[in-house]
Amino acid sequence: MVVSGIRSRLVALAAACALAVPLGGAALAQQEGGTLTVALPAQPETFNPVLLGELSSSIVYNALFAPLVAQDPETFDLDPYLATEWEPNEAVDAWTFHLHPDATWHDGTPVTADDVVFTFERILDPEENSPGLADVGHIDRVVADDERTVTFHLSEVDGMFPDRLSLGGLQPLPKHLLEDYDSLSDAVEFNTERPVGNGPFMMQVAETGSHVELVRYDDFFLGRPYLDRVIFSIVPDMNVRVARLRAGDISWTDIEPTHARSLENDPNVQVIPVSSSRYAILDFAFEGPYAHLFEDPRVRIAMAHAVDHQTILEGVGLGRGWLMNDRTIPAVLSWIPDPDFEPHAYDMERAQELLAEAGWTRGDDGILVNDEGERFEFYILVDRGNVQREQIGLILQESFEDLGMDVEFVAGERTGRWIEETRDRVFPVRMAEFPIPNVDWFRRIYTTEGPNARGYSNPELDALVEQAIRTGDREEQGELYKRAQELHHADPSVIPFFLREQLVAARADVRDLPEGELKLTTPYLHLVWLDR
Amino acid sequence: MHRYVLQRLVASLLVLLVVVTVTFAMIQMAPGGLSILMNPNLSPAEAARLAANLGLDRPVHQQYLQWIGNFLTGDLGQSLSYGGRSVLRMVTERLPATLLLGGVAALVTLVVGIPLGILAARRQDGPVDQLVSLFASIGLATPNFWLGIMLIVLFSVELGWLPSSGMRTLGGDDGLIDRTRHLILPVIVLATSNLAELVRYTRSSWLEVIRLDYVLVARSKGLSDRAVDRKHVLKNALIPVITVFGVSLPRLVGGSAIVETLFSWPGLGQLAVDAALRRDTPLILGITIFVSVAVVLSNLLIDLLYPLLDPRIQYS
Repeated sequence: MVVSGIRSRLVALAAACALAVPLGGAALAQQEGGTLTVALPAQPETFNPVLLGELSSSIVYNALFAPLVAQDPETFDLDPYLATEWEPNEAVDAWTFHLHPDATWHDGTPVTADDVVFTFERILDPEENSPGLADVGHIDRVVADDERTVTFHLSEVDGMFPDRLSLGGLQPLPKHLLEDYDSLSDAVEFNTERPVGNGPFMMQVAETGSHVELVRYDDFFLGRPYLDRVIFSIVPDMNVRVARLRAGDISWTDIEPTHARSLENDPNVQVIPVSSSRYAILDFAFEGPYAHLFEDPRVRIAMAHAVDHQTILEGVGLGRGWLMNDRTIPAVLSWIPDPDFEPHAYDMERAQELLAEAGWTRGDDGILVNDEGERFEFYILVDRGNVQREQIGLILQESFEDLGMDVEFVAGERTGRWIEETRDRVFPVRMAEFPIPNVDWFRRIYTTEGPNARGYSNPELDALVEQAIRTGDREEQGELYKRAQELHHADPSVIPFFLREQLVAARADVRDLPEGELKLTTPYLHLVWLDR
Repeated sequence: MHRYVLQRLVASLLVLLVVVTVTFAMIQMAPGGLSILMNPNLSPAEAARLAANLGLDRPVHQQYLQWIGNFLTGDLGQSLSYGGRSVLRMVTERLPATLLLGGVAALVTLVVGIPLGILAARRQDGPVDQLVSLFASIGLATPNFWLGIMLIVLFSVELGWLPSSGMRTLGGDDGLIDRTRHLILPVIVLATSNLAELVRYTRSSWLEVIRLDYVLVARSKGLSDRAVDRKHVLKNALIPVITVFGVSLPRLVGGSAIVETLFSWPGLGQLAVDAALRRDTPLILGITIFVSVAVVLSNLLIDLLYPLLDPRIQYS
């Protein structure tokens, strides 16, 4: 198992403390006490991880409820959490998880395998509307082998099952408090005011529209948290978040690159660049009225050659990020070897050659036409309001027009035209984003009806993905994903741009902040302390 | 008078019905749908299943009639996005914060705006009038969000005198002084544009009234300026001013979406923004009902005030 960034840091810190204390040297030891105030963008919809919620909900419930397996916010690898270890059976269609022996609910009741069974039975019930069902719908049954051991029997082979459990929204719930409800949605008080979790912090008060206050759970099974309290303060406006951080009213928030310069000059604030878990892509349609335009891989590769990635990174990303270089899996995932290919570099001449090979030549008006006289015209669909994607879309429009394509820029509401055309698969190309790969990644490339919104299907690639799913071996999975990327490079379904550097800012006295997106870091809040 | 009030109340019910119907129709006509159903990770089948479980797959007229039926029995339904919480409870939880902010802002507007307007009118074209007019113009022209951010930067970040947002210090002292300090910046921002408007209306109304014949007659009878102002000018000049103030009253209940969002003020305005962004139909309708009732009642209240200011106005 790969040693995660957080665990390795803890080991190093412990060693440093052990050395420092006898020498009476630097005060490396963590200090107890204090309140961490974290900015939340919106009122959480629910504190129940199993129900439908949005970003603010997950930021908070990740500190209240322990997942079986956590995703390291720095390396995106798996960390043991409520489950200390796990293993598949030989056929890799059943996974057994061993629960931490000291885990208890915030009311003191031990966390048992029955809680896990209860929770997943509820998730698998379509009437519960749990979004987790999409990730674990292939669970056949969940069995409590003993008080602290639980086995998931699957209806199909799945070597990535532990990755699925790390996605969030699948944290076990306390059976003894919820079993009497016909539906989890009926437990309104539990869901919105008084959740009883098993994470590092427990609910103190949820004041709607204002803040959520959590207090330390002394008996947390991974060790007593250092902070006394964590307050999630609802601050919808980013400028106000920054102002409140500078004023000392907030300890920790995400920020935009435009705020970084002023904050970097503030001695009371630390700006921490972290890798985002998503990157922007241009998505080609393989179904619908425009699919024939992009059917030939040479056309897609030509369009990839027309993109000046460095200019996009500098101009749109303000230089903060890492080029994807045609990889569909960012290099941050160290367990996946580098794919063996040369990126489709910015080369307009090569792009023109490829288009000509594919049968597209310029007509009298300078627009590309094929042998049948069809003009190469389409639109780029962008979700309005996402400034980066809008800007990339405008640059692409110009680049593709330089190739001789007639391109329109269409900004549609994300909850309107953008999602409707995505669901109906009628867009020509659209700006979207890809997540850091785990199970999600394969779902977006593999021939499925769900998140693979573009209708892309490559049987060879499907075969590699299926192989990766069949094995529980990380190294083998990495090798298969490497080959899948190489295959995808020759027959691209998307043009990936850059992995955005996300910025987090905190007061200078906040120590041992996990370097990751807020949502992924809140399960590790017990490691954070204040240097007072 | 009683009959008049009764007629107005009956008419108000019709107004409410129209407002709710139009709001419901607008939500349905807007592209997209409930935010939780718009998750691109959901397959069409998963989205359809969720919609069915939430009752959103039924014909629109059935959803509408069911909502109206529930409303008539006092049930505003459950929020679709906030874990099934009662809409009535959510709205009433947020109402006090909005009333506090709006009430204090309205008080400041009245207490400062009317005297300033009168002062400007009485010193017409002098330095004081020009200064007040300049202030009013700037107040009207300054966007709320810009003014708010500037005040936060100046008084919270640079000077450290006032808290930047919220209703009270989280996890700390939350006594009267603390809450008052938290009120200052949002009240200034919320009151500024109303105040500027009221100053201008008061000034122009006052200048109009002092030129009327009955005021000239009063002065020619030898009454002192103070007596003329108090007995003849003030009441008459205030009639249009009260109208303007009445129009701004619904903001007391509706809250200011911008100010509440900017200052993280846990009121109805912030909730309205959230509900709209999440396309939470029951919550949007619940807030609309409250705001509509406030508009109707404040208009009625203003109408009932007129006879007190001007005995010539009578309702029969």
